[in-house]
Amino acid sequence: MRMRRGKTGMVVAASLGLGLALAGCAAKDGPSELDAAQQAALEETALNGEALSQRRTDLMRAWRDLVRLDTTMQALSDRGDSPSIVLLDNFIAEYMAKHLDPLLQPRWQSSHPEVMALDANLRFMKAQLLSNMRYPRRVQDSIDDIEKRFEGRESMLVEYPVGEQRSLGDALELLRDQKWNG
Amino acid sequence: MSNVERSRGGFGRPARLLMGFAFALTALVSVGVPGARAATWDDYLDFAYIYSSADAESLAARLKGYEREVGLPLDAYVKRTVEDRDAKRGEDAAQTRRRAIAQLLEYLATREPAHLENSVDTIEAFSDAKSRQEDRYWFHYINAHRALERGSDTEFVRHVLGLWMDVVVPLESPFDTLQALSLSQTANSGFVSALPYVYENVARLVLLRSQEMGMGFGLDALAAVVRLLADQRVGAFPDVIPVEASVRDYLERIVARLEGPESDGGSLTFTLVLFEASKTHDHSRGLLASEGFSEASVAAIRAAGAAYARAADLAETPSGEAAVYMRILRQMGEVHAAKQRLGVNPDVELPFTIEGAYQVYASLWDARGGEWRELGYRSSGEESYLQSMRALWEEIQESTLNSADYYLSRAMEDPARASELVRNAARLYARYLAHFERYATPDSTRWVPDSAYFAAYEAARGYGDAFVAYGVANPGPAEIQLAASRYQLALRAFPFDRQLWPALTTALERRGGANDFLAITRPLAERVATSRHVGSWIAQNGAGSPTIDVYRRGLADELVLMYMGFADAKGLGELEKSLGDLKAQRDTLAHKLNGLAQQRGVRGASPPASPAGDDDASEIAAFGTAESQQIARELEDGGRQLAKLDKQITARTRALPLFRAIVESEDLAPSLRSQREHAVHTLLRRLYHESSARGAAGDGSDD
Repeated sequence: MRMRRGKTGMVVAASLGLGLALAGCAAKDGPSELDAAQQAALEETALNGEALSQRRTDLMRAWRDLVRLDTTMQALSDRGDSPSIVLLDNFIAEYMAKHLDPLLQPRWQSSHPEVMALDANLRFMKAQLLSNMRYPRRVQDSIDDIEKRFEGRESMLVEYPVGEQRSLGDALELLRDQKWNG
Repeated sequence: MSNVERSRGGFGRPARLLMGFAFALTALVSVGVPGARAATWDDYLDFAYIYSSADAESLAARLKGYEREVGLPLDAYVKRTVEDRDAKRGEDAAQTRRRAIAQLLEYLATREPAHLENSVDTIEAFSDAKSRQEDRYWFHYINAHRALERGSDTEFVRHVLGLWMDVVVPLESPFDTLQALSLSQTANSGFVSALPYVYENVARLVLLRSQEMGMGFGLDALAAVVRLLADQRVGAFPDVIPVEASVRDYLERIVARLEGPESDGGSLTFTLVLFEASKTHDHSRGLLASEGFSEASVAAIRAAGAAYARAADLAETPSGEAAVYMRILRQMGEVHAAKQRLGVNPDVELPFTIEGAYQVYASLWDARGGEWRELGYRSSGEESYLQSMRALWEEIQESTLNSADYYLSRAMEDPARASELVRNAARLYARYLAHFERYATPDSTRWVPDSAYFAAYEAARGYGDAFVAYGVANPGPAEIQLAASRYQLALRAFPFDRQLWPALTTALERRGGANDFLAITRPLAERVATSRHVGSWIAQNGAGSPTIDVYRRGLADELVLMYMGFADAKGLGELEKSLGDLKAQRDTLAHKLNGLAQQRGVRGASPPASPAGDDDASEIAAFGTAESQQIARELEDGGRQLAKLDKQITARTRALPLFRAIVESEDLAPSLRSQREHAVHTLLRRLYHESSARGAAGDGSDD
């Protein structure tokens, strides 16, 4: 195994370090606290190559995970299973704080042609989950964030609700209606 | 093997495969160890995530093997690490983790809770959420085991969710990166490379270990983890864990149930408990088949019933209740069928009744307007709701028919209780028929299975036979009257049973109304003969067409209908012989009339209608004489008789071959009885409602 140290090892270390940093989980205490220069350098690297591919994978996985968390939360709500709702609610809150929000933080991915649709879908999925969990204020925060990030691109197609495609503008309207009906 | 695996055998192979896969650990350890030094417990414990999910027996054997290789028993290793720590007044975090793992392995191999408590105490060193991921993995994994040992569902769920949050979430992205570079399983990749095993171990912990430890409550929040595991995680790394050694198939079955028509509104607890109950049921079914009602079989049947009862207690939605009833009804049917087949009657009481299933069906039917979403089908959807209704109906009908059949067979064997047993059967049949008449409406295609109509025939005929054919119940007039009505219903539901027509005749005779046969059956026969659906079915050569065509042609003929009601199929030869006699009689009469016509004839003055004859003067009677008038009368009478005979011969010549064809046609009932999906079930449904539509139209026009 030692023989692998060298150029390959450095590539691995770089990719791994980048992946961890972008995912906000390199450190044990939550999102990385990179200064602006570091962030800019990372974003530049993230716009192409393996890092971009990894980003796509992360966004897609996060979207699928939210769908499954949402399905489970809806089932628990239908059954009125309060103890389980509390347990899952805490889990989702922590998941969003430690993993999802750092993943959604970079501004570049909301405008990068290869990931912006995934980025938008993930934001809507997060908002839907928050709506179903009855957090209207946080849903509104998500709406505001989407409006700001995708201003002028309301005709862009997004998947919302799951399994349906509509323009981002229409999806936002639907989300506003859903905000109080989750 | 663990208790579950030993008794049910469902996961023995994957467990063995996983264990076999762990044998490669020796090689892995030696590769990872620089130089040629002998393996140590430290090496094996660092890779314990590979084999820690094995069943107790396999794990104990493996640990023995490692002990031989290392030359030190595991408990001695634990003791030595404690002594070292005390001597040095401290130790590496890695050493603490290894000791905790060693203590956990001792627990898993022996199931001695004291080892687990020691392990929990040791791993407490990593209670800080900022600890390394590997340490956090073992912290949650060990504490989850203790939660199971203590029966604490909340703690168990917390630790599984914590493991996911602290270990799985941060490792996934780095693992992807390493895998993209084909470095995910190198020694330098550290605990990141353990991710496929982490998935596998969490799946086994939640799905198998929790049930082995009797955790039948409070697991519903973990449905999220189960869904996440099923999404390209467990079984997705065949180069690391072979698919056949993984629990992927089991996991997929659980998720399918969780999200399908057998779910209780997405409750993981319910799904796991029902799955375990089904395994107990399978075990009891196997024993019943091999040993009959042995002591072990009866115990297993009771255990399965009790397991289903636990599932029923957990069910909070009609969806879940339906899922339980479907299985318990199947078990009831199997028990009754076995009692009938083996001719024994052991005391096997199951804590359910068919009536409960009828009530669940009624509540599902009440929600057909859209309220079904509230009954546990919100996520699984309308098709699941409808599928659930049809499946429950089928189990109700099968269980009813099996149970009633059992009572009737008992009645034949036990004359002293025959009257009571026959009425038990009749009650079951009547209950199903009431259910059928309530719900099997023309627009019920979506929630009533096609096979319900043939089952209605069986129940209706069963009811009639119970009081008419068996002759052991001493029925009253009202019961005979009802039996005759049931036979009519049976004919309407399935007119292709030749034995049913004379059965109706018998019932009508018992109430003194045999003359009503034609009046009662003619409309039923005409409906078959003129059915648009039947005609179309035959034209398209649908299943059973030869038999159906024969019936359609036969029932169009009233004489055939009379044969159906009154003729004995065994006397068919005699009927055909009587036709020969009739023809001979006709020939004799014709010959006689010919002779008379010749006697009466006069030269050039023969009546226009008289038969042509020769001109033999000696045999010609003078026209207008008394003799001539006598001959004319005889000719007239004979002509009428000849016409009558001709009519009879024509009718019988036409009808008898049709009746013979019916008698000789294939009996469709056995294949319909054994195949719920037989295509003819669909025809029966269409015919039943086409008949009612025509009947209603006919009634209207008559009015």
